[in-house]
Amino acid sequence: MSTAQGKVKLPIYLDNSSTTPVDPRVLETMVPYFTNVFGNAASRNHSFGWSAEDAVDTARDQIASLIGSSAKEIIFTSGATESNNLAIKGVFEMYAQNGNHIISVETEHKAVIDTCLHVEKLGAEITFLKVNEKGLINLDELKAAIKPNTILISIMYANNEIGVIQPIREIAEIAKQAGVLFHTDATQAVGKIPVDVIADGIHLMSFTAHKMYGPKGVGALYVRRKNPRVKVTAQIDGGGHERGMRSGTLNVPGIVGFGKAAELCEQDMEKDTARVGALRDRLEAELTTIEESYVNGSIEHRLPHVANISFTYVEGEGLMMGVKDLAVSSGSACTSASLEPSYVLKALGLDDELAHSSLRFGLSRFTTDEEIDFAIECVKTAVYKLRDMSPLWEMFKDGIDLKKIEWQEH
Amino acid sequence: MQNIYFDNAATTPIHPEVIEVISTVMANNFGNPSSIHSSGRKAKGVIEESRVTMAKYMGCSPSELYFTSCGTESNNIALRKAADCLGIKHFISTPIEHHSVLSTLKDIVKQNPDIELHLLEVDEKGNYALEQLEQLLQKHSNVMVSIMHVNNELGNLSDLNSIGALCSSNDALFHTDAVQTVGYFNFDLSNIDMLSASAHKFGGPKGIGILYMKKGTQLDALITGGGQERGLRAGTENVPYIAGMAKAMALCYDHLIEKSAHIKSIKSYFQDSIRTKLPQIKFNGDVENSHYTVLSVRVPVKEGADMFLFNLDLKGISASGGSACNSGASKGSHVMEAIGNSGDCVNLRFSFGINNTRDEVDYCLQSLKELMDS
Repeated sequence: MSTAQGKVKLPIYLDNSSTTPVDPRVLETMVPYFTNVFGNAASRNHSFGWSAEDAVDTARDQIASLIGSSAKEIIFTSGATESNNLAIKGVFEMYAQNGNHIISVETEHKAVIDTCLHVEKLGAEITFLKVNEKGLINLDELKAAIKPNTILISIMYANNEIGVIQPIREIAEIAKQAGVLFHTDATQAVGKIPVDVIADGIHLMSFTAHKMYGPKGVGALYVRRKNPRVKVTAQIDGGGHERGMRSGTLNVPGIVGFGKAAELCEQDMEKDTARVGALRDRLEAELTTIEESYVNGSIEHRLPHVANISFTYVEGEGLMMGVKDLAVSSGSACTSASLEPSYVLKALGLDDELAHSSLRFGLSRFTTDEEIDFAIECVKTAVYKLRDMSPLWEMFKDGIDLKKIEWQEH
Repeated sequence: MQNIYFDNAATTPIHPEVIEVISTVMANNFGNPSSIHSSGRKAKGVIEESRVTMAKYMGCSPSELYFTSCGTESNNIALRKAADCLGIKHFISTPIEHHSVLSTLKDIVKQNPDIELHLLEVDEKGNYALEQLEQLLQKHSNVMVSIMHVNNELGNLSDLNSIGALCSSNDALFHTDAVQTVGYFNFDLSNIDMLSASAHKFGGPKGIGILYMKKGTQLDALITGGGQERGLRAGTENVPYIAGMAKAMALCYDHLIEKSAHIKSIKSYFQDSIRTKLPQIKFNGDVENSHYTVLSVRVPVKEGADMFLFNLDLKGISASGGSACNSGASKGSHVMEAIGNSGDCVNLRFSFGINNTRDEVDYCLQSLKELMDS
């Protein structure tokens, strides 16, 4: 470890699926909108308001360009959680006369799952599709789940814990054939991989700035205006901002930052993906040289900057302590306050122990070669050290099948 | 070219020290507060310190403050979730509330036919009678009252202590939209069950607000997901803005006496100047009992109310129209309609802040005179 240390600043931040640092170029763009151009974008009668509105329009164009939509189809919200709430509750209310059945997936983010469970209490019927050991849904199961009363399919673009990308275009085609709306939580995908709402056939899409080097507290819901024209019932009422779908004074600097972040992602995506993807591949190749380590989720259909790896016979909390110089996640950020094993990893078929001893690495455009060198050494050292102390590892090495042992209760 | 900002009730400039706090947190403390590693814990620490700071100024316990994305969201949570979770059968409010209260209440009763909405009558000054409120409270049970502390268009100030006492003695819940007043007044929350506020009205950033909720009040989340804010409000917390809001609040209350004295003096200078120099301009609302930042006036014009505001802007003065009485173009203000304000005039709202000066008032009066004469 001594070789890499000294070149890097600790802790090393490899938890970019939770949140990314704000790109300095984004922060710089935001600052004038805190100071000189501080107007309320809804003030119609003076230049302070107009300047704020202009800035919001520019940002809307930048974001629309990144996802291939028109600017009018972008509804600003306070974040992806709110966007997911607006999409699901908003469709459930707006399309109530067409039916009440919603199809989603068991590995969705809590913001989708909890919202589905909430509308279920209000009379919705929810089907959560299962995933295979790679984290992918079965398209035939999706087709079979569609019923005459199905109004919405909500399936995430890429998973927040394992980075697995669902077959979005095929799902969209199935939704289209069935005349059902398709919403996708693309929080992890937008800005990282090419997302095009038209080519992908998406009707509603949630995403957020703080996962793509923008600020926290601002997100968007894409709501398609043509083929078909989609509407959602507002969940926050008031001044009728955002075409009546989301009231509240607009977070102008946040939106400006979101716009700049989108522009930078569009501009640098190829370059960033090539470099960061190579770093991820090297990290993963090195860590899987550790005996009894497994990559979680599909290798082929996966975000380029994410790796989720399990290490058997290593105790979860010990592992986190061992890699305390790395800021990594052992479960989804939003649920990691409790020490429940990740429901996403369990859905892939991992048992509780293995789920606990998994690490999620999320790299960013700021991750360096030296940081990856350090991370590789740090994880290897921690895993080897924990296994040296582990009686289970010793038994495993002695050829004892641990699954067959009957443990005594005590 | 003058550049005078008299629209502080719409939004306020952000204090430079607040921008510094936001930028510093954004640059150095970017973790997700739900992450258990050090970056996450550091971010969580910022949130909880901010909550403690704000609770001190609001005179409540930190656990009674919840962070939201804005005042509008706070109002939506308070009203919608009270209807869902607390068995409210009657809402009592006023016809001059902000849209985020009024539209929300109308939507609630539309969706729940068993819930009734009672709007107090207001007179030509925008005042309502506490007697009518008391009668309604005595007649109905399972009641929630939602009355704003200060009307954003007129500046009329409500007596929160009296309303709160009436609610409390009649077992009704009391919510107040205090978006215009947090940062400008000290609060006694003993008879207030819920209160909404927004940072950008008191020198903080846009996109962050608070909901105060008295201990023991339990509501479900309006935005569901990861269970942040003790289950009331899911979504990754906007850490830099939370820190910025706490700083803005501290700056307000640490200098409340000087700041309020300055703003008061600007408003009364404006008011006196109108009385003496432009007596044809009349005041809207209850000027004797109004917030020290807001002054609503009625300017007689022969034609083109919209043009009047436009020309005012050309002279470098930012004020709010709300909307003009007789302008066909814009939708009329529900507040002006409720107080029966119509005729050949334009309503202007001037709202003052700490940066305004007497010279700006003089220039504004001169400009108003020129526009009226032209």
